[in-house]
Amino acid sequence: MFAPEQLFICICKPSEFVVFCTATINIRNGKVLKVFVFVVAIFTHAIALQAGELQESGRGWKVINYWSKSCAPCRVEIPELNYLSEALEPLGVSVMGVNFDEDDRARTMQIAARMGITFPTLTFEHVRMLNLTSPAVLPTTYILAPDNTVKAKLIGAQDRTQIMAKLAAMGVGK
Amino acid sequence: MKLGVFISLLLTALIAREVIAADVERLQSPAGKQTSLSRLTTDANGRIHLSWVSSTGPLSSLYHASFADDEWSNAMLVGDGEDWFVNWADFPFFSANDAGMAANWLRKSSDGIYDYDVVATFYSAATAQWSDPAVIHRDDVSAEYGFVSMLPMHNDATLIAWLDGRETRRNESHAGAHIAGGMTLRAGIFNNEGKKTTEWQLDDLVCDCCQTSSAMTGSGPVVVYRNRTNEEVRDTYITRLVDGQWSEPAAVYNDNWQVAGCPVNGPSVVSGNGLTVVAWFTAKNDNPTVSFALSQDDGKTFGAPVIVAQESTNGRISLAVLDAGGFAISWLETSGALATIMLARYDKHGRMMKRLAVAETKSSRRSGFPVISSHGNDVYVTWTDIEREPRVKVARMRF
Repeated sequence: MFAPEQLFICICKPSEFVVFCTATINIRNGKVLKVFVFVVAIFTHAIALQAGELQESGRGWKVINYWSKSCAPCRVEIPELNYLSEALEPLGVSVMGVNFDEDDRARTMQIAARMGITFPTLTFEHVRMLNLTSPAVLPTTYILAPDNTVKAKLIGAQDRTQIMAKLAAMGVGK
Repeated sequence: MKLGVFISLLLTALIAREVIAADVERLQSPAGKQTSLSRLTTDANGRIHLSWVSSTGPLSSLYHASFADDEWSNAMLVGDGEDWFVNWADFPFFSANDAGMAANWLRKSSDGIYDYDVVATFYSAATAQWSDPAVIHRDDVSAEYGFVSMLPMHNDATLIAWLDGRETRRNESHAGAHIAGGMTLRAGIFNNEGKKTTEWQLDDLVCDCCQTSSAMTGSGPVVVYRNRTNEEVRDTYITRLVDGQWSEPAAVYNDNWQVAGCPVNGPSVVSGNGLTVVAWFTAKNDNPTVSFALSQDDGKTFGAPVIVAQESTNGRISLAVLDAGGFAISWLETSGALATIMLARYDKHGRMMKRLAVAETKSSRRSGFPVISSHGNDVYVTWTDIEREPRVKVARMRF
């Protein structure tokens, strides 16, 4: 039985797309009067990270970037992180993001899509699991070892060279 | 979790947190459920004004209530809309003068993903009406504008300072991403009908995402803000309006905090009884610090900084002057996800007289920026409680 209004949000696998499906069903005397189904397929690379995926990526190094929609340096940095999320994957390094503004999940994913973020965005729960401390400056990027200990805190906008150099200095990918 | 580990964590949390002072008086808040982004100000008659934003679905509404004789007035709707840019750090300012009030919010502009305008409205006591909301920067450039501070002036006018992104749209490589020009600081004087009589550019390169603050000194208005140099040094600066001219912006203190990022933690300034106080946050060398400096010459020069809090703070400061001399300062002390709103009273020489915890809150952005204001030696504090649904709270501390 549907409630008068229900919102279904299906979050698909990376490189696929997000489907937002709203179904409104009004029922009177057991008869379905109106059914409105709106399906909006938003082709986007902004992806939600499932809990299982976090555990899976927990075996590797992580680059975790705090961003905000109102942070201009973040917007400059994001293409660099998009690049790294693909370039570092063969090395077992995952690039992930955190919405510093702590908007709700649907809003966060919407903003991430608009900002062109192609790496996974962590949930509040993920952040708690990783025991991450919210930074004083945006953007800030943490590098976590496979045991989730913070090995580096990079404050301010970074480019791919700086992050890769930091990882190399820690022996990642060698 | 093993019992021993649980008890250890519990004890750590209890020890780390401050005990709420018994003499902090919780006041009935006029704001209901789903409210946040509150601000306090005191008018020249000593009346306390509280403003806050109420959210219902996509609709945001700015409300106001005043406090006199220990009672809140009925909440008054200032403005509402479904096109607001609502941000935890850049939230409506509210100002009150003898003849009326002024308030602002941010409204998404039609162009660009991140663009929004500063919209202001002015209340005339004579007509008992708010003016039609209007964009205060008439440059016709779609960009980011915000972090407003307002200051009541003589002749029922209001000085408004804001961060102005019009220059960031020059020579952009592609829309909404690469910032080629710098964020600027601008100010204007508006009459109580909302008509702008003067406008200035105060600084051609400032930090993009920190609040501004303004105060009336014995020599005239001052505006403080987080500066930005080409080398990405982002220290707190002040500029003063003297004889119709704004002074060359100068550092309150050279922390030399070099950071190519947004601290989202602006300075605060107050002035009264011949004392001007600027407080600010830095995290140089990743060491979060709240400091203040005093000026005896209306912000022209400042003494050495005094550290208020260090290491376990995320700033979010606010200041208020006290009739007895000296001032009060609030800030957040943090312990992981938990935070405590702290309040301290300092004398006019910068000596701490009292330090206390006002309320427990979260270090989360959703808890916003606590704001204080004073009447006599009473300090009023407002913040957003996010324990369940967001709700604006108010407390009073009588020094």
